[in-house]
Amino acid sequence: MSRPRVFRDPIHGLISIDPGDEFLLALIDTPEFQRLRRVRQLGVSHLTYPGAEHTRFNHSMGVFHVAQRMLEVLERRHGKDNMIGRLIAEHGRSVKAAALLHDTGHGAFSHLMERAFPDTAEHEERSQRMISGSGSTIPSLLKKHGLQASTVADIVGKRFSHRFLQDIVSSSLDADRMDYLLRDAHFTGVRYGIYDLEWLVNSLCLGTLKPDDGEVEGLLRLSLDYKRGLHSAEQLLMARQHMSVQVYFHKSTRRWEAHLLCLFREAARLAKDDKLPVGTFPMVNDYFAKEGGVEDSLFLQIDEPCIIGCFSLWAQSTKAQHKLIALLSRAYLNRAKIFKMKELEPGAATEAQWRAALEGLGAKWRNSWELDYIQFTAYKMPKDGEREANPEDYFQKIATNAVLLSHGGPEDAAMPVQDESPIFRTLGGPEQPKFLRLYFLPELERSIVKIDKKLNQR
Amino acid sequence: MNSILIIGQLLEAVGAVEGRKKFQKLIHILQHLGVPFHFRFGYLHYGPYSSELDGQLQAFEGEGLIKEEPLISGIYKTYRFTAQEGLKQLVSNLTGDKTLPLAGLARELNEKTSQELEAISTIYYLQSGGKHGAELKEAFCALKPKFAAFFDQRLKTARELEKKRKKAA
Repeated sequence: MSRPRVFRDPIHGLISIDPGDEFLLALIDTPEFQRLRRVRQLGVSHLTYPGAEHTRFNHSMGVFHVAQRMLEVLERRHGKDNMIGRLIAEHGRSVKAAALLHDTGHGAFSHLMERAFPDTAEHEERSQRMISGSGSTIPSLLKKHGLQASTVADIVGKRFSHRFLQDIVSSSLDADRMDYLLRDAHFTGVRYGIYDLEWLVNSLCLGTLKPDDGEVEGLLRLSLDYKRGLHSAEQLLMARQHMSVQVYFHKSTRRWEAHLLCLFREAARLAKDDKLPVGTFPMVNDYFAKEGGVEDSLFLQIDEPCIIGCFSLWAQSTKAQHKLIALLSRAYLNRAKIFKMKELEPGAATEAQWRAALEGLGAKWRNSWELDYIQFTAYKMPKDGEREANPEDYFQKIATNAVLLSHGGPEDAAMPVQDESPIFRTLGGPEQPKFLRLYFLPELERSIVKIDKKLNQR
Repeated sequence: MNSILIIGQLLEAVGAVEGRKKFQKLIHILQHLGVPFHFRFGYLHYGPYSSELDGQLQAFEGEGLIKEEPLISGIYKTYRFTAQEGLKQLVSNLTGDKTLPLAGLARELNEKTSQELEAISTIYYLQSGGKHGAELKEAFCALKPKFAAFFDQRLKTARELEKKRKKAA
């Protein structure tokens, strides 16, 4: 390849793959990566926001693009430092591969399957297996191009020893977040997600994060230049806050998620007894019978079209044992809102009491309700006074969650942004949005009224 | 079961947990051994750490379900977590006679120091990421040079715990 290969993208304009990075084209062409064309980025949000039909494929290309830009900025800024220049040269291609492949373990309907079947491997673990596991075509491709699959998997798995490079793929300032906010804002049409990506990326630098006790060595971390980056970081945070409330936790979208959670659990119940309607794809049957805990080769065959294809079949069944799955499938395909919603006072104790009472209605009704407790924090921050009271824990939290500011040199101390920003302090404080919502089918209405009465008498 | 009840059962089984680090490692190890916590853990300086768990503990404390009180031990200050009356009542009302799965192992783990738990938890974390044999030792020693001398001993304990889990099952 003598010229860069370019892809048009509605968010970033042109996504360019340079000569010398041909391995990325080969990775894009793997079945593992192509499958992401058939997994929507936002699960069921398209039922609320009709434009939200974008996929994990588009997003992964965008994450690669932003990661590549971040590497270029760091190279330009710190490349003359022997150690940093060497690390970027040595591992830059692995970082690009990790950015591109970070979502290959996502199941159909994105995070929804993990909510339906919490015992299934998390998508990040699955992604690591897609990158370095024996059942995938990716490891041999990486090897052919001189890359170690284990290094790429370690970056995705947050175990990489050079933390600032891992930060590009996974941190509070990562390429993933930078892409998904803009992309989701664009495709939903919700403008709140927009922030100044160009300025943010150009404000990146390195800094050293060191715990107060000095017992652990300082770590070179991805940071923002103190003078330039603060306001764009605040914009990014506001974008995350607003997108979360307006899009990710939108009550209509959560209603559709509740609908599908009930449908998936009902499919699993029937599949375990081998009672899904005749004609169901065998791989879908196996997938639900094992509640998603299937080997990687089967996992790769499960995408949204094959599950939705089964909904069409299930919707037509007239057998009594398929009454619920047929109803839920039909209603999903026709976007008929059949679930009612009741807002409850948010709290862990209330949730536990309601859940116990609802489970008390019996297994027959288990797939007719969903209790949805959302506690959202746009920025996770230690409590006031924690630094003095519990330095190890404070450091752990800062190292995991903080957006860091530095004066621009790698040897400069990296400081958590909240020390300088009232916006971060407010959005990271204890008073954050919480919702406890109960979604249920109308047949349960009388029981819900009774439970409500009983719990309110206590 | 939702996390407040299972954390309540854990506190009921062990009485109190001293230190947030210990709480994190205890839950990570128990989750690895099959107790149905569902927290996402990442790797950090002091071993596997779940910011999701940390956020939940903070929320439970805010709701008055658990108490976190400072404990001075020599020059160190740490925190003791205990269940508040409301949580004890909630657990008793909603779970009845059911106790924490692997409660005996939880008590055994709680007797260990947070450093021991950190090492065992790190071994499990690396194993679940596909590291075994020499590769596991190499990765452990790179991440935890301070504990390198104890690797074989901690690996032995980690294996014994898994055997006990199987026996209990």
